[in-house]
Amino acid sequence: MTVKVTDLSPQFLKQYRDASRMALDAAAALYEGNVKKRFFKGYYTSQAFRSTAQIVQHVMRDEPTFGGNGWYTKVGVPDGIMAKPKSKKSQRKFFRKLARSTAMPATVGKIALAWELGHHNIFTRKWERVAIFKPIAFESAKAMIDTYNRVLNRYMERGRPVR
Amino acid sequence: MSKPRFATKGAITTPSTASTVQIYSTLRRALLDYVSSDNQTLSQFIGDRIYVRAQPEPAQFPYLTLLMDRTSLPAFNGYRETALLEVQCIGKPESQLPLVETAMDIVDQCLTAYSDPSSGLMVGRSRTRQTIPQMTDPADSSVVGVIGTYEFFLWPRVLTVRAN
Repeated sequence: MTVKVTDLSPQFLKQYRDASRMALDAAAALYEGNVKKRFFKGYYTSQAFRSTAQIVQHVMRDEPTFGGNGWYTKVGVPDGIMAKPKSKKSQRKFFRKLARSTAMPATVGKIALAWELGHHNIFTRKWERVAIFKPIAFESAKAMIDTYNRVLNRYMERGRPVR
Repeated sequence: MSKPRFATKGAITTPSTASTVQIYSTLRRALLDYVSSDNQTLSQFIGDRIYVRAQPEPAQFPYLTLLMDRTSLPAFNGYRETALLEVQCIGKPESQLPLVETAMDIVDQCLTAYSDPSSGLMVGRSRTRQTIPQMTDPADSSVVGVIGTYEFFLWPRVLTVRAN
């Protein structure tokens, strides 16, 4: 009679990898939600910079990617989305002007970056800064860790996505 | 009612971690006093224009700003803080970019592995550094900048030393 002693580590590692992917995505979703909530409370109270209203529409998170140090994802505004006027007529004018222009077009990501890091504003002639992404990251850090742990534990216990 | 400590003359003595204002002053003094391996100092590039949060208007370029976020974890009973020090070096016009980059090299040298045990304990560890891409409207596109974020661990006197 023999007793088979089996190493289940490959199964565990696969389950852990899936679980950590789900957990990371859940933590990132929480941060994404908090950033959007903050924008809905009002971004620039003066409303002088209407292009900033486009930022919240483009806040999104990437699919988690597996890198050398585990899973990672990005939350924010992707590069290359051009800030454009609302009305169709203004948009036509905007694109005609853009086709002729040699200047670098303003993108939503660049506008968000300028407000996040601060910039010398050519209209107000002052230093302007409204940081949103970093303070929300600090505020959300504990809740994100809790979410990550909760999703990871439940996935590892059940071996399937958490409902 | 007596004035707060930081508002009285001679109240700021560096190096010190006895208050947030003094932590900023300590870091500012460390940056200004640092002499690089090429015998260069930050004051050769930016004078004494190191400000907290933002520069006074009208701005004189190049200048440096400091901004610190501090958090503590329950694992250290709240006494050990992790501080993220954001340093921005800003110049205008675009031709100041080499000046700004070189000034930030000195900041990097000074704050990497920075260690000050003379009052509380403050140690520098890791950093990230990025050149800010050229901005577009509404930002002034002729402004150039480099942003560095330095991770510090602190056991500040303001938290660890009590009167009773």
